[in-house]
Amino acid sequence: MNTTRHRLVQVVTYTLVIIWVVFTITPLYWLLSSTFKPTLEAIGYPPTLVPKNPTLGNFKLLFTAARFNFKSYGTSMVISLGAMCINLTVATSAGYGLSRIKFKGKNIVMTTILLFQMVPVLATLIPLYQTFSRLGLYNTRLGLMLIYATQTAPMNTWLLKGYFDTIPYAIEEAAQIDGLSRIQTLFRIAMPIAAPGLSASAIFAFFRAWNEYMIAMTMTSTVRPYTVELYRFIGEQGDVDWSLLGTAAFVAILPIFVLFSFFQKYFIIGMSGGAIKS
Amino acid sequence: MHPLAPRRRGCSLLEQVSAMKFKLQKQQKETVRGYLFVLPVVALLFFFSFYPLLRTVYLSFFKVNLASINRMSFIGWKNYESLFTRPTPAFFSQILTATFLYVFGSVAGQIGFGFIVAYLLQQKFIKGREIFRALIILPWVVSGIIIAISWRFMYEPRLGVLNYVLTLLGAQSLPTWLNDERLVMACLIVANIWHGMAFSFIIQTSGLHSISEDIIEAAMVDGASAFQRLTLITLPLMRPFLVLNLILTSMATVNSFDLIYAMTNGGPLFRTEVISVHMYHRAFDFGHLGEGSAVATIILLLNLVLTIFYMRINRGQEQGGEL
Repeated sequence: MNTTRHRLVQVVTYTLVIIWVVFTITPLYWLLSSTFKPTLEAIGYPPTLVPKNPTLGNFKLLFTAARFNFKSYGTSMVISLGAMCINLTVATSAGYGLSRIKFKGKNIVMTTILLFQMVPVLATLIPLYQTFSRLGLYNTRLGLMLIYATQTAPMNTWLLKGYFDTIPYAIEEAAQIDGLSRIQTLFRIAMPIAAPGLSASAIFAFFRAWNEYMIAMTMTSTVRPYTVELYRFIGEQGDVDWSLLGTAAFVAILPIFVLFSFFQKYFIIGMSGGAIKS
Repeated sequence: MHPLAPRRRGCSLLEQVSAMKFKLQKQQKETVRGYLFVLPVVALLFFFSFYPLLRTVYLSFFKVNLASINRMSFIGWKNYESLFTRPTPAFFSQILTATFLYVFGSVAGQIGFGFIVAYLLQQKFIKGREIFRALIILPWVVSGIIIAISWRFMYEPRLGVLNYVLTLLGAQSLPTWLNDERLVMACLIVANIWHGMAFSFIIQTSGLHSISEDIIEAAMVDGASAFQRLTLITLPLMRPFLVLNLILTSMATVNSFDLIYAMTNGGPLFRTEVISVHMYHRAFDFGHLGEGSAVATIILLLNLVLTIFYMRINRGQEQGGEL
């Protein structure tokens, strides 16, 4: 009796979880599977669950498509990597300073940095547009890099400060007695040990920049990241070429999937804004 | 105690003073060094976050047009006036209502499903938990614009999966989903729950981890039913996590833009013109940067209220030693 009931509970639980997983996968699967369908099949009726005539031809089409600029992936890559480098430089410096150096007003500085985590980008967009137009940063890769680097700066500063805190200071002190300067100890000793923390921050900074859309759309006219290109693709009225669109989305998701499958834990720490540390 | 009182033996006053001076100098040096290390991040935050934030409030009292951004004239509260008195879209009955519906629906759905799925996956007998988790988190790491495209494909009246399934079930008249003003908000909420639920799922999972198994087992020994264990033990213990989740998700939803903009762009008939989309329309489609700034200031105020709540609760939790 008790075991049959237990069985029932198990079956129900599994069923509910699987329903949710199917719900989770369907929309993405639908879009991404059209990557491997010829155009006619992708928009044909009835829809096919598995590509009937699987093809890789859409990648070739995407590469030469008039309506989608393939170079936008390169633009996004350059911007995301640039944002990541700027972000890591400032966050490592600040994280190290806050972890290792005792100075007056440190707690205030730390709290202030954390408060910036709460600033909605939406509420800074218009002045940024105005300032960027004046300074000549509008429609430049550098402009986007700077904004994206700022977005993840508070989070990564805290993340790295926390990481440096877990490394015993004794090694660095010994190195300093041997005559290394603070900067030298940071580069030669602390940073190599903090490599896992640094990669977590790097992934987070890269990924946020890679996915961003609103700022990219506002701050560019010709230097377009792929997110803006994708929007232009669906924004235009008329018949949408879903198989080509699916292919474009597929290429965009690829780096994220690769990163995510290897560094799932880091994603969670970064994306949850430090609310949870697991 | 008098500073000169405890003289150490074999150490002159002069030596002590110079030692103190040396220490003080060293401290000052350290302070300067500390600030040098944090200077880059502070500069970045100042120029690209703090200054624009203040300038948003400042600009909301000016008439500035997109076409001539350097020509500004002070007009007082006029931007707010025209914002509040415009008949379509009406600020309170349309924009704020749409925002509230969207935030309420998304937050309730994300936390509700996040908790339920986290609770189900927490059961001991579940196998392949890691794979389930990875799949559930997946939509969360994908760009909002791709999410919007996927769901537009789902809702597409002629080619979409949803209408195909409905035909299979024998439906006669097919809904037009995103083009139907009665359905559109629900469609967006479903897509947003789908996209953002993972965040709640993660918070609730870590919350469930924090509950010690001893308490649950003790309740089982005392004969509590599964339902009683959930409502009388798990849920009260989860309260801090649920509240944290509530505030963070509300903030994120108030500020969310990509999904709605790319799926409906505020339409049809302003049914989904939430405050973030409205700000964008005013500032960059109509070119009224001043009025856009007024909307942004209101968004800022909404965030401020939620941040204060958040900090209060955070502090309360630190004192209570929870979380």
